[in-house]
Amino acid sequence: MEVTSFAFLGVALAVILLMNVVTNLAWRRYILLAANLLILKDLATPTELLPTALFLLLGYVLLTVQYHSSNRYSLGIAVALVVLVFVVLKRYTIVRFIPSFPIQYSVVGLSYLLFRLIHLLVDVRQRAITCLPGPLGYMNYMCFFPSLLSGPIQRFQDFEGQEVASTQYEQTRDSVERALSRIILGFLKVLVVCGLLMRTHYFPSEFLAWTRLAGSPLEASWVIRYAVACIVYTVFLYLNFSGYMDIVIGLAALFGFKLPENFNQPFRSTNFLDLWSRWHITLSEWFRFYLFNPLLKHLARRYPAPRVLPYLGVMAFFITFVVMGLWHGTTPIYLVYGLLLGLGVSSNKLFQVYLQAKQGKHAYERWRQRRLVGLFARSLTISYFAMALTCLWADGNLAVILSTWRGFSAALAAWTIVWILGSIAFPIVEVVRETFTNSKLLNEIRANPRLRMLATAAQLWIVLATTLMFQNQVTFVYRAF
Amino acid sequence: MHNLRTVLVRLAVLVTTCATLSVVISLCVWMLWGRLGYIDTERMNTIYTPEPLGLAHGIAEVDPDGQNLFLVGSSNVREGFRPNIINGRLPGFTVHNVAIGASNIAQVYESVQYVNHFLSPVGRRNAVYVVGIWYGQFVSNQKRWGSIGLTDLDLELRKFHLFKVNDYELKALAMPRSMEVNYMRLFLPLIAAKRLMIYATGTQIRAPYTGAVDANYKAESMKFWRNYMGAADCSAYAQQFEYLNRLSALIRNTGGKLVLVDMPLPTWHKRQSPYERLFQNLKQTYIEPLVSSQHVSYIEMQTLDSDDDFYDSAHPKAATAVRWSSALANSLKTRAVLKD
Repeated sequence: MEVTSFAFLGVALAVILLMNVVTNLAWRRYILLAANLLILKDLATPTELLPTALFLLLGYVLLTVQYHSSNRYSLGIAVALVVLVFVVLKRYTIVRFIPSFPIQYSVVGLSYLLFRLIHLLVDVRQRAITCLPGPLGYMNYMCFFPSLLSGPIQRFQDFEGQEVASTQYEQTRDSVERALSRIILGFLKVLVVCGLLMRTHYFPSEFLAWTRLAGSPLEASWVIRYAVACIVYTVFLYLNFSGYMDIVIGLAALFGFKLPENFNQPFRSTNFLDLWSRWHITLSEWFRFYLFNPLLKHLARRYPAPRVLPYLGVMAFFITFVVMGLWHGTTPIYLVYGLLLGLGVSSNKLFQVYLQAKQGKHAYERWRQRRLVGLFARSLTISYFAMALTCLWADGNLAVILSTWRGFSAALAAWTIVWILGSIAFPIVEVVRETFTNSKLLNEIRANPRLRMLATAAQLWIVLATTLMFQNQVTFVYRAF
Repeated sequence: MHNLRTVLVRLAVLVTTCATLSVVISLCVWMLWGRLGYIDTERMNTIYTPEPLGLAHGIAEVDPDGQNLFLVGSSNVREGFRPNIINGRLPGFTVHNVAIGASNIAQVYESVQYVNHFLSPVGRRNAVYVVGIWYGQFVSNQKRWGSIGLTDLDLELRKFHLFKVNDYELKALAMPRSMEVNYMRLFLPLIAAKRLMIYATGTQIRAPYTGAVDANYKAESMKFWRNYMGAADCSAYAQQFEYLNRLSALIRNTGGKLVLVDMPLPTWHKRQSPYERLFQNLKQTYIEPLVSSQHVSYIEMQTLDSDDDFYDSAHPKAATAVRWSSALANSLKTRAVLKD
């Protein structure tokens, strides 16, 4: 089921209407449970969902054990067990020798269930969650339908708090309009703009896959098309994912839930570390809390010398991002993706450590604040990220080309082009953006509720007209991860 | 209840504003934009409009009582026969290209039924259907449309709720024909909006292959066709020839004319393809009885098979399309079907 499907929107509308009438907490939980189960039922058949159900059951059993156990190894065993079950269910290449589940099954949403479960296990163990969640609360948190497929990843404490707070929540004209406007903006991004970008990306990527590198030293048209494909895919992925977030955050707001934001203007990142505090924020934070911090703590305990601490950070970053890359998929290309992310972030950190040691912290900060440095760093960051994202769209043919020396050289040339283009485009985009956001017309629309509604209705019209003309709906990319 | 009221009121305001806006925009576009005057699925083939939808909406462009010539087939017909070139060369006729890429004969049959349905009895008698055939159209329904069996055109027509489809036969819902035509005309503003989008984005869905047609490409291409067609057996051909017979019967019963065009292919493709050999063998068995009917005519274009004329394994270059269109127009002029 797609978030843009009528079935999903129908369930969401029913929940919105019911939740705005019923104020009793217990009843609201049952309504939510019914909606979650309906969405799950629509995702796959009961038989196909059996492994997911068993995974949820296993999670609850481990959670209960965690709550009552005082054994120091129990958390490690529990986390290792759920990760192992996850890896087997997802059929990662390294565990293909293990016999598969004897039925055809669905793993949609399993990645996010894993994140939520590990968060629960760790927080229950560390008593950050003081009461063991009841089965109903557990199910509703794990399978909360707006964020079931691809997040955002919300902390249990926040979710539980909002469940209670939403009983007292009062909808105002402004809050409803903002939520509706956000939902429609999400649809506009996913169905209209991403449709255009998906097709725009299709042409160069088909060309890249079907042609071998010829000419000398590099085939110029191949390099340019590769650069274009990388840029288009990056923008496409951002709009696809952030559009999805707009839809689910808006829907949840209509029944009193405030889901965490997942994006904060990622194309304004000035370095790779900054990028990960702006792109898929809840995932980055999860990895920070549950992998990076414990790993760094462990390394620091093992190698306590203060002068090696920054380098331990570099190592911890590298490992964290390799794992993050691997999480995206089950085949070796995702290991390459993880390595590229790890390389990017650890080089960034290493460079930072080196400059701070050489120039001192204040001088380094002053240097970083320079406009030109910021501009180049920004385009370097985004262009590197755009090239790394190739792993998410390249088919076998392109992967083979890129793995050759010539292909690699062509990719480096394309990266240079993207970097230069970024350096030219970003200042222009900034000027246009500032002009647009400060424009009189936009401010008038913002200030006038009727104009705001008209703008939202115009967006809705574009979405409906375009959807009528589409043959295939644009799918949500992160659903596959 | 206060919350519910607030949500419902705002939703109602949004829906009403959007509906009002739709009416205003549709009227403005309708008034500003005229008709193209003929259907051309190649031109309709944009990012936002797949070809079947181009045909579905495009029906509003057809004069139901006029003398219409419809070019039907798959992508080689869509790209190879340009209505803007043929239109001036066949006096009295309005030429439409209603070909849909990757069609098999069953979908071609549906296209003909769809177009024919909207013509008046006079229009049907005046209509000429030029069907381009080649082996790629004889892929079985199971292989092409899977177990569900819905063609690309079916998927689009479902949006209009005008037809039910059973075994690739379109069954119109009981509604006066004039009402159906007017119903489809309601979509004219959408066609105009699409044209607006073509101009705005400058993008059409097709990106011709621009690489070299070398040995590697040819091998890959043959692999593609093997995968597309499945086993080279006679049963799939027999199944699709059956739809060609139905198509011919439909046109005969409504008084129209049918011209079958044997489409050219690059010589290297013809030489290497077992499907092409089988098609040419079976053609004698199936086409000859058809051609003996008075309403059917046959044009052989297999001679236009120079490798340089194709940019890939089946599609003509832009300059070739001009030559093909002229050749088709010249050939049609000499045919009795156009003179009756």
